[in-house]
Amino acid sequence: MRLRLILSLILLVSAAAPSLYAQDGMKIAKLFSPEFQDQKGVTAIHMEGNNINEWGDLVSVYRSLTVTNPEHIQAIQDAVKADGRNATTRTSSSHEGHITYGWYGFSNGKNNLERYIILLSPPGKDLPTTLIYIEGTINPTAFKHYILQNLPIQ
Amino acid sequence: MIDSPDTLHALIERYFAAETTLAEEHFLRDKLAGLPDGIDPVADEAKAVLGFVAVTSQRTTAGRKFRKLKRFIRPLQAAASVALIVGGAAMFVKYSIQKAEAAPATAFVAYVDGQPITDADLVRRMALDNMRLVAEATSAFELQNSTIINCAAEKNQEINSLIFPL
Repeated sequence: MRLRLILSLILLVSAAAPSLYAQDGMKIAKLFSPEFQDQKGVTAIHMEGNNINEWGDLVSVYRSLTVTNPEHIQAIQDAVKADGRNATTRTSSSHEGHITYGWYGFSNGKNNLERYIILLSPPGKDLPTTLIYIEGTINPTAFKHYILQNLPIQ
Repeated sequence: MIDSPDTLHALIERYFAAETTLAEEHFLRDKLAGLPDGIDPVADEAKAVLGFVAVTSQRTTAGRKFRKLKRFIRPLQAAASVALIVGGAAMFVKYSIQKAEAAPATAFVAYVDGQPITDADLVRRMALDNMRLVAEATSAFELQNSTIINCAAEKNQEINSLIFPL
């Protein structure tokens, strides 16, 4: 009986704890694993918290990958294509099945959480592909406005 | 009353046969308590048995008292355990929230070819460089789209002027 109570409390506390990997549930999540980001030719950036300076509290997670290896580029393309199907807002251009520019928004009405995937992948050989994952409470219109005006997000 | 070993042995025998009265048992216990050990083996054996019975009786009484006390202690123990767990969980949640509010960032790291960079300024600059690329690409994309739309509108106007000349 007492054990059951303890287990229930542990479950309650665990549920209250924030999730460790916010991009979980997306295909790109596997790309942000140490197995991928520790490879040669990969530049990975991870900023997370309530106060990432210029990003303020509107953006709580920033992750990016920059790669030049064709296999890595293909892995990113495949993951973004799969996730892009579930996007709530989408702007993209492609060339012969290769996404050259992609902007995908994923809204969660429950907690005002917005997630974005941005892909820059010029088709030329040896040109770097950059995948960015951003999470926060900033809405898509305001986010694009801030980016285009090159303003620090506050 | 008992003035010879035989009389004492007879009383002991009656005690073991459970034929003694309570008064005789008390008398026997007192009598045996006054006898030194190692003189009369029969008396020693009886002392051992009577002593065991006395101690067991005391223990049983103490056990009963303890069990009674335990009935009251057990709910208190359970309540204390629950209070401890709930209090601990509440403190953990409060601590986590405070930590999240106070912490400037939970992660601030970059990896280049697997080599970590933990200089926060450098990591931030790298991220901002990426966002500048996004800004340029987004501007170019929107410009391209508007050019396509404008071209299509001009073409449409041309076609219209050919079909419907003034």
